[in-house]
Amino acid sequence: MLQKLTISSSSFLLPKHPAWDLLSNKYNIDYKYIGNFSGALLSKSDDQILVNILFFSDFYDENLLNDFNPDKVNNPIIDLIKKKAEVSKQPLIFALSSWSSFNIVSSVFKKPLAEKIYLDFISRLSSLQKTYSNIYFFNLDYVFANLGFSKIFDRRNWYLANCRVSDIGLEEIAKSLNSVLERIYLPSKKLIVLDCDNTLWGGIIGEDGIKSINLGEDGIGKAFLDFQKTLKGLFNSGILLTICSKNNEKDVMNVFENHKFMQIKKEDITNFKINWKEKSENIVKISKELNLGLDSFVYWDDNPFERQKVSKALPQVLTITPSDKVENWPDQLRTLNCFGKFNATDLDKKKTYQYKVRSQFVKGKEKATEELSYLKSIKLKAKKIDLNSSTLSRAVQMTQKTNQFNLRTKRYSKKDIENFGRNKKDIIFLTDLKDIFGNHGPVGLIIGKCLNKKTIFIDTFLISCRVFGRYLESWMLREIKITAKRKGYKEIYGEYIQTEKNVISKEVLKQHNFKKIDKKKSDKIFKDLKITGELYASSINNIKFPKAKLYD
Amino acid sequence: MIEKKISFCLKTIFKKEKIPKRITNLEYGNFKSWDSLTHLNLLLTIERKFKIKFTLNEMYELRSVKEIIKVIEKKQK
Repeated sequence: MLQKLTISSSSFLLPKHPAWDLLSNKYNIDYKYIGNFSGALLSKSDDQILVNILFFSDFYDENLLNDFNPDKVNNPIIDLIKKKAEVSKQPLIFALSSWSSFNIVSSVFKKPLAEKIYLDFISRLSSLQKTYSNIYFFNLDYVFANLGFSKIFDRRNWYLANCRVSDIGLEEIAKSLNSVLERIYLPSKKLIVLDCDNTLWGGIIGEDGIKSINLGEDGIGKAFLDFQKTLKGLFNSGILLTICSKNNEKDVMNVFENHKFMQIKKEDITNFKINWKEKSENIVKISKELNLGLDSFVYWDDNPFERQKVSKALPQVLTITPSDKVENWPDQLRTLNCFGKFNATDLDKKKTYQYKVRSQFVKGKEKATEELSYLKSIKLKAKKIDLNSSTLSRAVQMTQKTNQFNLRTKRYSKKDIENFGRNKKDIIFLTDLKDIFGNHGPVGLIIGKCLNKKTIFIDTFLISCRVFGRYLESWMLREIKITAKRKGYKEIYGEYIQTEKNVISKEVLKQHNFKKIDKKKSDKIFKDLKITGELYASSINNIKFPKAKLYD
Repeated sequence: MIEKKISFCLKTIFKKEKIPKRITNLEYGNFKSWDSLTHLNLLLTIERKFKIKFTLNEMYELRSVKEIIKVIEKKQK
């Protein structure tokens, strides 16, 4: 079943035009509110993604007004949006255009009204966004400006069908919505694999030498410099940088350590693979060492031959085809939509460091002959953290993003998590982990939901992939046992719902002495909770966690 | 050649209809789904395909494939 998507707008937009195919192939589109955006905001349905395409010039007639208070237009709309955001479980996306045909001379003294309304509108939408994280908005005019307004708007369509834009305009709207929706629903890319020669700098280090490569303040060297600066910006926003280059390690390191124009420093690179092996082989190795899926990888290399080999061997990796003109690279990299992350939290910034730590952990583990003595030696320390205003967004983020160790993969909103936190009969806590490799921050979340006085159900149990292999799950189950016992619970239920990615958590409950049971027998206890996966149960006293000792 | 291209446009817009081999006699309203909206979508698709622009008046007046072919021929000269 395709997800439902309602497209609404302030003026008409030619439903079923082929321009929408991009979206209608992926979503079940409802066009009934085209030209009637307020109807869409008023509608009772809460299970549809709602798109509002607003042209601010639809809200007044410039020729009939001298002066105008933006409040008059915006108050009622903002009210409607607020009410909708309160009930809707799905994204509310606003695509906004304040374009109007304007007279350059009169605009010197007087701002066009559409712009005034627009500025007031977005400032209020931004403040709503702080409360309702399902609100998204973007400025369509930036999208339109790329092609030029004269191509985007079409007066003939306006007089024929009340549609402001041309078919090209429709296509641009559909494309931009598609990018935003992809960022909401598909995992974003987390890592870039970079080549060195003719990618980070111009020329070939092994032949030209450090003095002759192109990187600096002049000409083409500046394009490489800007490309590196853009990479640095991505790095600062939490994207991991890795190197995969066919070269002599000594030569490349020499550039990293001694070239004064290198913007990316050695310590910014999470993983180096400088050797003469196949790049695909190296990329797989990086993925294993960092425990990151290949589908979160982006690969940038100027060499079409290498690109072709990688994209053939590893189709999951997003292989970029860089423009054949280096001067376009900084812009090309900046406008890649695959990194965009919504709801980034402060903790993201720390993650680069943590992945690096993870890399060291895996290497150490290979060496340790006896797993347990090794784990003992890294001095694991876990801590329970209660839910509060500062940990709430991390808890929400974990339910949204954790795919592998996640028993039920239930995605929750801020409001959902708050509700768990409110009911004192429920148990909810995050887990903070530290070891000799560093402070990993909050990496686990467990939610126990009260079914009745004696029975509790593990609604959510997840652990971030960065800290796999440390038996943190045992410690967390021990903690929930202690708390559940104190609250008087006698029995505990858990469910495993299989997804494409969470096989790793399939055996967890069994390993801790839960028994698989027939779901029909216990239907009554679950009331309105639907059990679709494998159901497990144990009496509170019977849960066992031999590995939790590692943390004592 | 013109007919072939228009036939392609008809298929793009009226995905669910069966488009006959000879299209010169087709006109607005021939299929259930050929209404004012899909007609506009069709004209815009034809413009793209032939790299021409209709005037607003032409868009009001063009109702049949025959008329459309005539205008395209005129514009291509």
